[in-house]
Amino acid sequence: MEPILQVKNLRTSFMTANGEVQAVRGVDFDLYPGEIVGVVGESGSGKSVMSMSILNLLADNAVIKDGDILYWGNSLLNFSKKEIRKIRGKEIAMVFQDPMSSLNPLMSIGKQIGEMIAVHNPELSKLEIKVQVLDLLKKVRIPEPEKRFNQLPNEFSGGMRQRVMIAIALACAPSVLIADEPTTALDVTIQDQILKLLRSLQEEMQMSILFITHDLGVVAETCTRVIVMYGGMIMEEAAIDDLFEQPIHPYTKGLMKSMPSINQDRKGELEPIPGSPPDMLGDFAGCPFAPRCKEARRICGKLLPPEVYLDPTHRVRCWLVTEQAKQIKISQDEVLTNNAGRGNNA
Amino acid sequence: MLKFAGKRVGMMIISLFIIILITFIMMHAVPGGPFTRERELPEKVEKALNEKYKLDDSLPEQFFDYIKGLVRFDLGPSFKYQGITVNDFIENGFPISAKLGGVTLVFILLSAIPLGIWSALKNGRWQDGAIMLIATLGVTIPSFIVATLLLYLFSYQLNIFPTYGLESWQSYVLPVLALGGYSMAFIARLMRSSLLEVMGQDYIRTARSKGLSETQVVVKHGLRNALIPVITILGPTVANLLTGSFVIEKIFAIPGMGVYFVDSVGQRDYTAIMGITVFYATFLLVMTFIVDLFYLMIDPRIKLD
Repeated sequence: MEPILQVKNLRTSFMTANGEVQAVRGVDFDLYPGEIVGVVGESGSGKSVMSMSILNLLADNAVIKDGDILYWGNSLLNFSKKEIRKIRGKEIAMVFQDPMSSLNPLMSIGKQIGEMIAVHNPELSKLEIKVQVLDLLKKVRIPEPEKRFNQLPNEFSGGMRQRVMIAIALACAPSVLIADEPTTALDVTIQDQILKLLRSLQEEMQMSILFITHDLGVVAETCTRVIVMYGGMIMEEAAIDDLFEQPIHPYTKGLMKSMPSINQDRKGELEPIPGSPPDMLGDFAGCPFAPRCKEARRICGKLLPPEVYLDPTHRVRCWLVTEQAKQIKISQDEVLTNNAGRGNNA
Repeated sequence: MLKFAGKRVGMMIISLFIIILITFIMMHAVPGGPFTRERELPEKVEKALNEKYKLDDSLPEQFFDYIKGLVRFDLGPSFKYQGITVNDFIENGFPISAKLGGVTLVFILLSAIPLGIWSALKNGRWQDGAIMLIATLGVTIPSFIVATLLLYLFSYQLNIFPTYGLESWQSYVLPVLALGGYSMAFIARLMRSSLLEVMGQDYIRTARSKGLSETQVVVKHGLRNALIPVITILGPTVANLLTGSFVIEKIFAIPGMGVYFVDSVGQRDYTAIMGITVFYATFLLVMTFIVDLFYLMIDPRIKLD
């Protein structure tokens, strides 16, 4: 099957007064039609910047330095501003993290949803658009759509606003939905409702979802495949069952241990990962996770580990695996001269 | 709506009463009176004058006399100019000040808001830098210096514009620039910072993610939100411009209200001080009320009930 969305060696940086902040440092992955892929990582791991890069919704000081983003094989980076606008919303739509601030406070909900339809279907009359909007409000299970149509965002609760955001995103029946932490700002019961809604709509509309979150529990409930990001790179990617049964990367393991309810044998105690995410300014000497990694060896702090495929669907970027797999043997002398991440299969 | 208006009018009357009371007390607290001269007047004359203008009554009596007149829109006779009432001064001076102020206001709105928007959209580029440099100068340089420089350059050196009066359209150019410079610079800066802040909001990103063009994003989602702080400042600005500026009217020899107001304070022309203060305060209160009505139009979150 042909992937609907491909991200190839994506590098996105922010040019700041302090220097170049390399938020995304070479990310590769494919998204296939109809699947839900989770992207997990702490704050600052580059997952949001990666997702904003896809539709080029980055801040003015952000630059995509390298790599490519392909939609059905066409490079979105080569698209003109006008062409990319036709993709935004119609082919690839987004739901953002904070529903409280993501809606225009001065515009009625009906107008904000209808605007999406009007932009991509200029031939429709106001009435036709209204009919569609009311339909969408029903679809995202907002009660009394007729009454809600003319209301402003401040008359909606957080969960209801996120439903509106989902209605906006789905208004043109996109093929890909990028959900950037759609449930993070909501409380747990509402979170569950929104996840269920997203899943049922995904089944109904058969779209692909890129689900960005820092919550492995949400991933377990929602996704078929998971990408674990750290320091702007993919640390591990696996099918959902593989990842939960057999996490390989120490960072993935750490995330699991710091998550409630999955490890029943631990008597309610959570184990946080010590330390904080790396400074994204400048280059890393070795693996970005090395300073926080309990299993780190000398090589980890010196040289970036290459990506290793354990099987066609499970890849890891970690020296521990690389040595286990006996794919390379590097002596300490070589370590210092070797070019990071290359020549691993020689 | 009627209830809202009624409530606001009631509050305006209370505010106005307090303003009158404070002005009255402060005015009488200042030493000297309307008939104080370097050479003292003969006692009889001064007594007769005080009697005529009821200045020998107790202060509370004078105050309530004044309020009684005010209710009939009678601001009383000028103490300085025989046979002329304060109403005459306002009727003569206000249209002149208001005409100049009105032209200035239109000029400000047509220039400051577009410049502020342009500057925000060109954030960080040379256009932004140039506009903000001029705006910063406009905010910091006092109007009498601007007026003097303009007169020197355009009237004295280049001889393009007249130096005084308001007879032709050319004579408006320099006073409008001098009078409006500050407000124009201030509003341009406010418009810029407000729009910049709005353009960084999450809902702007949402609008972009819908596939709207940048123009649509700015016009439909940016401007309306960004105009709210600008409208707030417009109320006092309008009142300020229309009621006249002492400095500008003095420099350009314009017989407006500003000159008369400052003169009346120096000369302890009690009724004139009171009359013009009341007029100015009323005007300011009405403008604030109108601004609040504008809010209702632009911000649908504000509901009257």
